[in-house]
Amino acid sequence: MSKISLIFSQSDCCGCHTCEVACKQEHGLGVGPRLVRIIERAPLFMQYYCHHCEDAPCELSCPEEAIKKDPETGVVLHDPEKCNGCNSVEGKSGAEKQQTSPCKFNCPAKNDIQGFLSLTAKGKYREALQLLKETSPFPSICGRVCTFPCETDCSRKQIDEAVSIRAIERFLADQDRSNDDAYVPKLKPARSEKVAIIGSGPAGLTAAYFLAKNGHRVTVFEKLPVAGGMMAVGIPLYRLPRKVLAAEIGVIQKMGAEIKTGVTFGKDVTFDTLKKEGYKAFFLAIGLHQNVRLNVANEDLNGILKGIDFLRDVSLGNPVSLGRKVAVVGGGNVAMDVAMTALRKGAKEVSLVSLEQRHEMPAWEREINEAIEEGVKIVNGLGPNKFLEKNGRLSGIEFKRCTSVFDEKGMFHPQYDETDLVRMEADTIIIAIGQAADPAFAQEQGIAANDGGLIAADPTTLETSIKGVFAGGDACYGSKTVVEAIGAGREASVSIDRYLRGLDLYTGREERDAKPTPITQPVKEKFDPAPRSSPAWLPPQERMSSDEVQLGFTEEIAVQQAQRCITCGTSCVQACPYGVMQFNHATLKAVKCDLCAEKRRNNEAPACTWACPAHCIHWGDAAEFPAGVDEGLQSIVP
Amino acid sequence: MKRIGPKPSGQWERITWDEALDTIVHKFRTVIEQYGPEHIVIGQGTGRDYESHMYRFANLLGTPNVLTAGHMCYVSRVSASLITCGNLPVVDYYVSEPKLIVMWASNPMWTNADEYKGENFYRAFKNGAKLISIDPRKSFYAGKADIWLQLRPGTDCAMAFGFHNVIIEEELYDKEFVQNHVHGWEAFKERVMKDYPLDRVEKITWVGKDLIRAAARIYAATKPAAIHWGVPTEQNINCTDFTRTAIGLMGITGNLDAPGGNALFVNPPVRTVAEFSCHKALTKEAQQKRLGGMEFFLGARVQFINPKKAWDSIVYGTPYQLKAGLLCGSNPVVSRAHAKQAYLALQKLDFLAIIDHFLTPTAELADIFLPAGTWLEQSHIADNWKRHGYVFARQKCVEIGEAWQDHKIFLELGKRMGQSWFPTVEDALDYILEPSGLTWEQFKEKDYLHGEMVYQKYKERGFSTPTRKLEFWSTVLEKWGRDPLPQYREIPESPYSTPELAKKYPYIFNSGLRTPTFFHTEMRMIPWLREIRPWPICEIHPDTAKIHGIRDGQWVWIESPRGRIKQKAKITEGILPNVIAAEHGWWYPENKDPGHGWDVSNSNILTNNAFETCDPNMGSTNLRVCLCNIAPCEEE
Repeated sequence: MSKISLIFSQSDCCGCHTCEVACKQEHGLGVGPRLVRIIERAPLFMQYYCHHCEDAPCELSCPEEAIKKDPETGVVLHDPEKCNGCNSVEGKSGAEKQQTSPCKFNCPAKNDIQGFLSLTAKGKYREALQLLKETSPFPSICGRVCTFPCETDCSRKQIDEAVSIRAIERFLADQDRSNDDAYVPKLKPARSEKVAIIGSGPAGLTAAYFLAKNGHRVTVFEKLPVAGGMMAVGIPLYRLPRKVLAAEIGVIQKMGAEIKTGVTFGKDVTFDTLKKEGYKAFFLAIGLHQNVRLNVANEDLNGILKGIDFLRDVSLGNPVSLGRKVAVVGGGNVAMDVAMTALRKGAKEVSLVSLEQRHEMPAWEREINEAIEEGVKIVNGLGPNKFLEKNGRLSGIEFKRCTSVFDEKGMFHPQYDETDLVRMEADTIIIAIGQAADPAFAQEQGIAANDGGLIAADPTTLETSIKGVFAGGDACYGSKTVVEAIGAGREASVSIDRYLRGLDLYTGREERDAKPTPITQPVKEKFDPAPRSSPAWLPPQERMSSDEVQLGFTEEIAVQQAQRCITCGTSCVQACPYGVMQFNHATLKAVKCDLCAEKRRNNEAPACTWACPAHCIHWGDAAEFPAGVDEGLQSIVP
Repeated sequence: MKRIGPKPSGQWERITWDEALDTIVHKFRTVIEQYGPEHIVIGQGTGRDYESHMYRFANLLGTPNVLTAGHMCYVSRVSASLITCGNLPVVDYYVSEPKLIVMWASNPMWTNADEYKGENFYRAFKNGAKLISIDPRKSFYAGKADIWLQLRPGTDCAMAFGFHNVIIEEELYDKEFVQNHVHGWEAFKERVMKDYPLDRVEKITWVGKDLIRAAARIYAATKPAAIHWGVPTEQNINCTDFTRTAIGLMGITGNLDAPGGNALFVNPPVRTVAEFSCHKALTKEAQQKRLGGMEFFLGARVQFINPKKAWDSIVYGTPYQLKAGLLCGSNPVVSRAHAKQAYLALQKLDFLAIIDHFLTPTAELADIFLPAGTWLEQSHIADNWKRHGYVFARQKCVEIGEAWQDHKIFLELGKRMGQSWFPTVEDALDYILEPSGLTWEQFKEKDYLHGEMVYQKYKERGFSTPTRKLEFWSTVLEKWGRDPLPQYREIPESPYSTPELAKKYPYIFNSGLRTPTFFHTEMRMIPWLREIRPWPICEIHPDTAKIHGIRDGQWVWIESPRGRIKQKAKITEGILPNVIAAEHGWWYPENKDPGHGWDVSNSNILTNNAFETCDPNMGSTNLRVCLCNIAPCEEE
């Protein structure tokens, strides 16, 4: 038999669910597994069905090799003998498998975390990395700087501590980078439409990665002389060596995305000029590269630096001049980065002054401690009153005592004791109190802004007030994280892909995974007793001269730590981009569409195909399908 | 089963078929002796191919009081068709195919078990037929249509008049047909032009007149064209007159009984449902006792009664009191308008027997419950009642437990009542098949029969009406002293009819939104279907949802002057901001209380059944449109 496929024609689907019911009855599935699923948004409907993918993520994710593509027919088959339901043993977490584990649920990039952990535990690093790259182009970067929301609700916490997910992700990415043939995803057949992406930060580059993977022609326009956005000019070098960043961006370029640096949108290129050049869709991911002003007296004195500019200049190798005594104003992670970077740039004494009390500081505890270890002095509860001047030069800063930072509703609303003033001498003061967008930008381009002055975009589709123009990342929702930007970039790529194919932007995207309920009472004795390891930091005295201050896991530790995952979900279920792979609670095994293998042996058609009143389901040799029926293929929410 | 506790207590005891049937027979005999057979009501729900047997039992019992869904579903269009053109016009997807389809208030691909086949429609569409969608919702068809007329719910009849206006004004009609085959053309024409100018139709229907004009033009210009219409047009005060006006459109555009138009199919040579039912056995005297028979005479002509007539009879004893009942495959406490009245009446009915697959909220009110087999457990000559020109051999393939097919239940009951029946179910089928020269055994081999199709039969022998013409001016209605011409009647509870009420209930409640996995009140106990549709859905426009602070997926109260229910909000731009479209038929089998949540989400808690809201000739109740208000549910 030749290669066979199953395709639903989206435009012909009337949403009657007949295929879904036929499939259930044919395979006696009962309540639970829904191998075909119809999402309704009349007058349009979307079908979730097994595409028997070329490089099937479910196959990739299975550590037991229970899922295999039939070489003859191309049908992805599941072997129930080999499948152990991801350690579905009574009394383990097995009988209470989650559709989506908390790690994936909390990950804005929607990485199949259980999947790559299980593969790592079996020493299958290449497969694990590939699985990561299904959902994110930046495992090296997330492995270093991610805020790891995945670890927050980790089910392992019910036994001891969360699995060290971030460190394992870094291990996999570092392994891959050390190979001669670092992994480059396969591309889908090329398409003709050109897409312009404005901004090469994590959101823009993620969109570029997925669009390139889907065969689109992508150009990324970057204002700065380097690509990477805040990954290149915001995150300090000692956290993220630039060769690591360059390698991951290099993969995106290898996939065909063109990155043009030093091009300012609105000046060098505009919507009009790009449209004339044939660009059909746009993604604005311009980030927040402006500083926030304090608006106190003498703010423009010589010797006062702006945090974002300072980090950018250091990253780009531009000269920065710091005095001996440096004061940093701000209490967030950026302020910590600024303070520690100042130490590396020759400052002898660095004080960080935060409005908040120690326990209220927005910076992470880990980063505050890192700064203290390196010798940064933290001063709490002071807000700038004015900068002090002596002979036309900065001499220091005067603070007023902050009596409370937040109001009863928890909103930022600082109150001061104007009579309690404190002065501090400083040669250089760096203000790091937040990031802002360029307010003129959206207005000049005719794009509607939201209440906060940021670019307004539809929360589901990321479409702006202009059709075909999408926006995402910090410029839309304010200062967030790399992994949030990756999520936004991928959503944008889905929207743009659908937009270019003329498909509805909404269908199927509003239905999201339900928040997992915690599993109950996993039997501690049944799991690997190993305690959590966290990656080591260099001793403070060695950090100043090192490229990278945090160390990675060794192979042995990575494997041991990956084995700590209690597999509260199922790898393949979470890997499937089409929501088709299901866990059958009756059999305690995964179950998937095998294109009615039994029936095909008797030359009969799968139940879903003949039950459809619109005859919108095609199966057999894909070459013989009516033209255009595959248009919905790439448009599922990843 | 026999109920052993008070009603409804959910306390049942399993008994034998003999005991169950004898109990019913004994009760019926007692009622007949003490009061007369008309004090027994027999009935069924949606058409399930046993009406022939149900009616035979009722007629031979001597009761004219048969309570079915027919007053507002299908049989009502049959009745209105009979007085207009002598038979029911059905879209001809079978022999030929239309080049234009007016999909009027119908979703056949979801409901195709009901009537016309969705599959055939879609084949015609894919073959290139143009599509006009007339639907208050942006449905699948609206999304595909060349023209979508998003009309105010319940104004279909006015829309049909709008079509007529354009076709008459622009002289797009078939003059030869009008001259030779229409009765009352001039009078009708005058009414259309005088009473239904497009400006007025626009005001009534809320659809722009240019759009109506464009739709009417392509309907008139494309041949063949067919009108594929659904029950919402029948489930309101305009039931008869919509059907008559729409048939008028088919006639004057040359599409009536034309290949690929709306054909009058020729039945295969088998005994009709009417003949098997022995309608003639019902005496004139008995007929005159039919509840509401003189009022809703078009319903009486096809042997059904209006439900409120039955409820009033039970509750108030007017004009006399029903004492006993037998309902088959019917769940009126969920499916009939003003459900609270239905519940009260059936609770009060002295004796009730129910034939069903499951213990529905209605069955919980019964004294005797008889388990029926499903369609897979029955042998029957299927689809004989539909007038689609064919019949199928539905062959029993399984027998589960002690369930009997409905036909057998009526047959066995009838025999015990001393009626003239047949020894077995199969013997009865032989009798129905007799004119075809086939026995049931032979028919099973053949599997189906269809009538020899002849189009445009009127050219030879006229239409089967008193004038042998298509009666725009109905001589039957005239004889009964009713308006012989069709007219549009404003929905009795609407922003125009009851503006004061509309201040409190500002939205138009549009019930009957379909669920793809259920049919009316059926199927909700099947877990994997409920998995697809766990809760009832009501569609609300985003602007309206915003006013009330309603989120997508949130439970919403919907309230009318008759009560309130809750359903889950689906926020969609596909519905007008002042219309709330809601699913019907909801009850909760998983709720073990004997009420099974019949009044929680049941849209008929809200609908009205007052006689003045019914079709004055047919007695059709308004299941579709009333006024409502909404609010988010506090608890979540």
